[in-house]
Amino acid sequence: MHRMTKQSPDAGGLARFGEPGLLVLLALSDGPKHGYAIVADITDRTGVELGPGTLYGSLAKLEKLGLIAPLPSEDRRRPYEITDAGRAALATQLRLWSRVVETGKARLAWT
Amino acid sequence: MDLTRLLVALHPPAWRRRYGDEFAALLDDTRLTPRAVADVVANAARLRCDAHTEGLLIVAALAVATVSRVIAHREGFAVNVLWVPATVLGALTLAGAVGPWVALIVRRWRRSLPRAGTYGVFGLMVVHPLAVQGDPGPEARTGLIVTLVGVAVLVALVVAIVSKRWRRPVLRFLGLTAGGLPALYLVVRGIAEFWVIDYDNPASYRDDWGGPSLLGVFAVHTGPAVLILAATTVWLVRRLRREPVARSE
Repeated sequence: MHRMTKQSPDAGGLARFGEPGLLVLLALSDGPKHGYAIVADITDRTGVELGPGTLYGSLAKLEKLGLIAPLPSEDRRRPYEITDAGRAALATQLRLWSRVVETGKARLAWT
Repeated sequence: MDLTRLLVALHPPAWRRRYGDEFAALLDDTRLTPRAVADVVANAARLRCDAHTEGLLIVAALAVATVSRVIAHREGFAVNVLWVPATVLGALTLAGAVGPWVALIVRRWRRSLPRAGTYGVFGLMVVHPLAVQGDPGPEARTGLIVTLVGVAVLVALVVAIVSKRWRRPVLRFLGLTAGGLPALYLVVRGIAEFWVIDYDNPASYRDDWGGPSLLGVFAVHTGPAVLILAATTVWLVRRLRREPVARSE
């Protein structure tokens, strides 16, 4: 019998794929960005529109977890960069979900 | 007040100090559709709730414990719900009266929340029955406090056995408390002895422990306090000497 398990906190506290935190890490993985640039990048790359409240909820959580770090502010727009721990957490999540995607593609016979 | 400032003001002060400016800049750059406004309001509401979680939990524990006690008292399940629950209802009221406090203490401990607050919750757990039921008399009051301390020690031991992570801090806390409280009593008792004795009347101390000589009485009553104070002083001096090294590392 299979038990439902909670995800371990080893994955950097990221709960599931599609969580805003993961999208924010993805947006920051190619360089520091401020809030508006993060939202624009996520919308361009994934089609998901993060609301301002959701974005800052995620930024605060990721910063607390040490997955991102704030950089000195450019006027009022503060950029954030991904940390080494953030890259590791992102890689773990992407590895996990690439298996899910591969399995789904094979079963649905996507080309 | 414009919409941006209003939306920023919805957040808790600590959050505004850290993120207020940059969040306002983002809102200035964003088209504030009803959906975006709702998203901001929802996040602000969640942060407000998070900021008051501890207070809300204490109020909830107070409410559950009070209702449990009042029901038990009025229905006569037991004079004091903390006495050994002989019936299912008695056990339920005991769980309702003590459970919320124990859960709060365990939660604070697991989340490494400030210890002062945890001691405060424990204090509320001890004082609460007296406040709700009135003073049950010296014997019952002592029994009540002993029972509550027993329950707390039992829970702490269970936590120490179950959780490897918490074993060391819990046992350390129990050890310090078990050693510290008697030590504190002995020091206070030893100092008080100087005012307890009637020096002009040997009959007042002749039959005390260490009597009949005044020196013997002081050796027994104040000696332990002197030893404890000396040991504490040595420990403090060693600790203070060690700290600068630890800091420089």
